[in-house]
Amino acid sequence: MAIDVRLDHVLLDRKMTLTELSDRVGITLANLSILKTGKARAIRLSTLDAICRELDCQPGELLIHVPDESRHPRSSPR
Amino acid sequence: MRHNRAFAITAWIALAAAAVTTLAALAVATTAVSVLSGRTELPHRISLIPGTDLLDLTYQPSWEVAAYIDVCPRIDLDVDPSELDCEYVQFHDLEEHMGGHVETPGDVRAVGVSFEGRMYFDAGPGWNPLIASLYGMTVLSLLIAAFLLAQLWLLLRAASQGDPFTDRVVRRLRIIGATLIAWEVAEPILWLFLSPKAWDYGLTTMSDVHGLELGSMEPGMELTPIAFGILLLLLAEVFKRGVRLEHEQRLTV
Repeated sequence: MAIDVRLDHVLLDRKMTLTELSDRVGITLANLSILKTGKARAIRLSTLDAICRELDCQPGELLIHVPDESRHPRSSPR
Repeated sequence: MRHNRAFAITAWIALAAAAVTTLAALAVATTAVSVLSGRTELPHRISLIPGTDLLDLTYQPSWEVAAYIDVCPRIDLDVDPSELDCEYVQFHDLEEHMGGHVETPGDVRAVGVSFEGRMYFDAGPGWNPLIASLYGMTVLSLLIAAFLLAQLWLLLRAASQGDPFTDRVVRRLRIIGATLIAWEVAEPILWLFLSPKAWDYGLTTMSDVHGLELGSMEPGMELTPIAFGILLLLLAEVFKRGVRLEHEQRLTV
């Protein structure tokens, strides 16, 4: 997927652990872990709202669109 | 949850049915070995729990028979019916017809009668290929039924333990559907080699039952189980879609 989740960056910046965030937003640690590791297929707006409220951040800081070519740059032909 | 409990209860019922069917298959197989090896006479009642009358199975080797008779269009009481190729059968309304020549009413009349039934066999102890075939197919049918019930038990148990949209449920649905279709196709083919006609048995009647014939195969390919099997395979594809949606849902935070 071309969407990178930068939750670990924001948590590090806010000096908060995933467990603390889980307790504050009321989302299970397992689900937050799915989000953090990039395995999530979708995120509800209510979840995004809760995380941004607790971390005092914008959705754009959490979710970055990375075009596929930037993820897997083509090797130049020899 | 209520639906999980419903799955759990029906799973137990399916398991009980599978166990009883397996027990019946073992009882018939044991009886067959005993009869065909010459140890016992052909029984008509098999006890699933030996020494008790609790679960008795009435089983006697039998075969489908059928008869068809033509109905005489006209009843002539001056003619001996045994000299005719048809039978005197009158289909009429409640108005009585008395004496002499009797005309069947012209509005609705019978032209033929078809009978279907079973012929029951008895045989002395010892090896007989027809009795062995009938016992063998009965045991095989019971084992197939037990297998299907066991698959149903596993399917319902998987559904009762969580969400019904899992790969295990999809797999069980496919197995049940494919087994139903395969058995309905295979059974008539097996009977081609194991029926009384295949063992060169025939039928001659010297009674009032005219035109009695042995069935060629039993029970013959029926469309209903095949249609049901196809329906289960299609249902498996629907559940497969459900599995994908469930997976998406599980990965939605």
